Amino acid sequence: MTAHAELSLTASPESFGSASPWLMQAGGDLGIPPAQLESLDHCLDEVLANILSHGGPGARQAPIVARLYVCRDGTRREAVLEVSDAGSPFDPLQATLAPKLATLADADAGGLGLMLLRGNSDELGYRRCDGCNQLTVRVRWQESGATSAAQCLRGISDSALFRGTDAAVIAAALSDSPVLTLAAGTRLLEPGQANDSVYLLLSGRLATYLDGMTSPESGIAILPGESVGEMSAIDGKAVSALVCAEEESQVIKLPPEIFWERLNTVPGVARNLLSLLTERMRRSNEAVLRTQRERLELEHLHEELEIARQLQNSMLPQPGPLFPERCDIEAEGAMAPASSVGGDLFDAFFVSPQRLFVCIGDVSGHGIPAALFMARIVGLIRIAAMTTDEPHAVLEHLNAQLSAGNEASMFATMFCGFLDVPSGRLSYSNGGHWSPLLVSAAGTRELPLPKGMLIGPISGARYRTLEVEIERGTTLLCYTDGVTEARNDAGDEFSMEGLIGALDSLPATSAPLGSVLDAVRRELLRFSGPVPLADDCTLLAVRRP
Amino acid sequence: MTVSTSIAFRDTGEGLRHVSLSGRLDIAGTEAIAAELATLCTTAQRGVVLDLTAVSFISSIGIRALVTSAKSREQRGGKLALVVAGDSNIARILETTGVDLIIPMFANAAEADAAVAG
Repeated sequence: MTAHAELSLTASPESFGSASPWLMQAGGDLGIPPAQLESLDHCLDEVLANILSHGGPGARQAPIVARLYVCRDGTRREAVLEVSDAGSPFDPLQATLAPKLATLADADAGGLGLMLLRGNSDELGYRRCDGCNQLTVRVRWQESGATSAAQCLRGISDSALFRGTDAAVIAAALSDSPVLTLAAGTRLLEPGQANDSVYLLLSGRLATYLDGMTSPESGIAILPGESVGEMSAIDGKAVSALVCAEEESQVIKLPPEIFWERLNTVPGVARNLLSLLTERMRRSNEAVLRTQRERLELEHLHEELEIARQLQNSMLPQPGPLFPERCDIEAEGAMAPASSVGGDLFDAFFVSPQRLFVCIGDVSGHGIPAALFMARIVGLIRIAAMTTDEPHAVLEHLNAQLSAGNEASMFATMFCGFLDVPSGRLSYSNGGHWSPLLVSAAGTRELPLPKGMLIGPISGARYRTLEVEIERGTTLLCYTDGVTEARNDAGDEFSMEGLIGALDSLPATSAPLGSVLDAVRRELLRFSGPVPLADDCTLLAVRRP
Repeated sequence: MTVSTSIAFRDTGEGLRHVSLSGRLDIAGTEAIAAELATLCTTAQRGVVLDLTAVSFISSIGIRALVTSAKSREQRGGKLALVVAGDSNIARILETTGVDLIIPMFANAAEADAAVAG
């Protein structure tokens, strides 16, 4: 047994509409000849009709499964169609075969199904197993051996090349043409090769690759009854495309003397060849167009991502000192997104002449969804900071807005606070974010944090406000976990120690904030080396000079 | 690649109704046209000529629909004849199952018209 195809149906006439198209497609792929496929088509419809009329409610509760495969033994082939249903036990083979209809008055047309099943199959089998009826239909044929091309042609007499021609004449013309069996993966024609023969596919499947590479998307399928090699055989030029056997295939080789002298003189063949070539040309044009369209779409997508990145950047404060016009406060942020659009955010703005609002956050995930969520947060938090004085109220308001209808269960961490610039008093609250650091001449320590849930996943979360006084010359350094969790190629994390080490290398109280941020970034890049950043890295520093 | 099944009809001046079916008369196809076929066959004034030349496939379900239509036509005192392409699979199946013995079957439409009108 080789590959098999499977179809799942529900017991309704509408669902059964997909049965025949499936059978034709799968049967063609498995190399079942048209005549045998037609028989199977009849059998499948009769088997399904039986399930519909005798299966009862059981048949409607579980899917009906149809399986198709081909058994090979030498040149003998057997297509096996199995249909199983969970309906009431019913062996259609035990039903009485209807006598031929006698008169219209007493005809009820029952029992015809079995007659058609018998007439269209070589063997029928029924068994009841695992609570299912399993009906097996077998249809047999002979696959022509290498010796007899005429015999193989029976299956492809309606192939495009020979449509409308006299089958006997074709068979005579091809009687001594060699038939080749190609194992899967065999290259029949290669670009650059000289070729004067036409190959007609009898069974199996070939694919042509215009670019000479066997990437799965670029292959154009050649099915039984179709031919390859006509182009080079006609114009005498080298083969232009790679032709490979996708599975074990049989081809009949038509050398020039047979193709030109015997076949092309058969009425109808030349015209068929022309329409075949036209069709081939159309198909390859479509493939080229499709590739082109996909490339354009990809370019377009890249452009849109670039625009999204610029938009996102424009939502956050720009690099460099944030309030250069003020001499009572220094503030500066820096950000390095991992992917082109990231999910980190920070902000700093004055809500009144003396009160500075600062925040930093990290949205779950990356890419466009994280960027959209982040953009929403930036907008919401600006409104919230303008309407309340309490940092915990800012977070509660933000959480209420984000948790409503949060189907994608996205969330963010968020630290925020209000700094009274003249006194240095910072009131702050936290939703699942890392402790900012307080960097002073005495050393670096973490800001103690109140407990607080991540923002977004649960409605009604409560947050607390704490207060601290920040001395002049002490830097409040907020960061996202992309900084401390950045890894090097040994898998080690930059860690809090790495961050503190970078900060300690500078005179904490006097160095410009820009150089502090640069030092951290430089240390981080030196540490991670060639390893690209896995997460966005964002820093926000605030200091009263 | 689903082949849709369709039904169309035309009434002639002589009270004949020509009904033509096309596509597959399998389970799904027959289901799609069965109600309309039954209505067309019972409401015709006199005879019905059912043209199957464009039918590509027929199963027992489809045959049953033909027999039911012919029966209901006969019960209302009219005739029904089939037009089937001479050497088609459809003709072969209708002959194998004996449908041709109980419903007159013709290879050309004029003969079918004459049989139903007579």
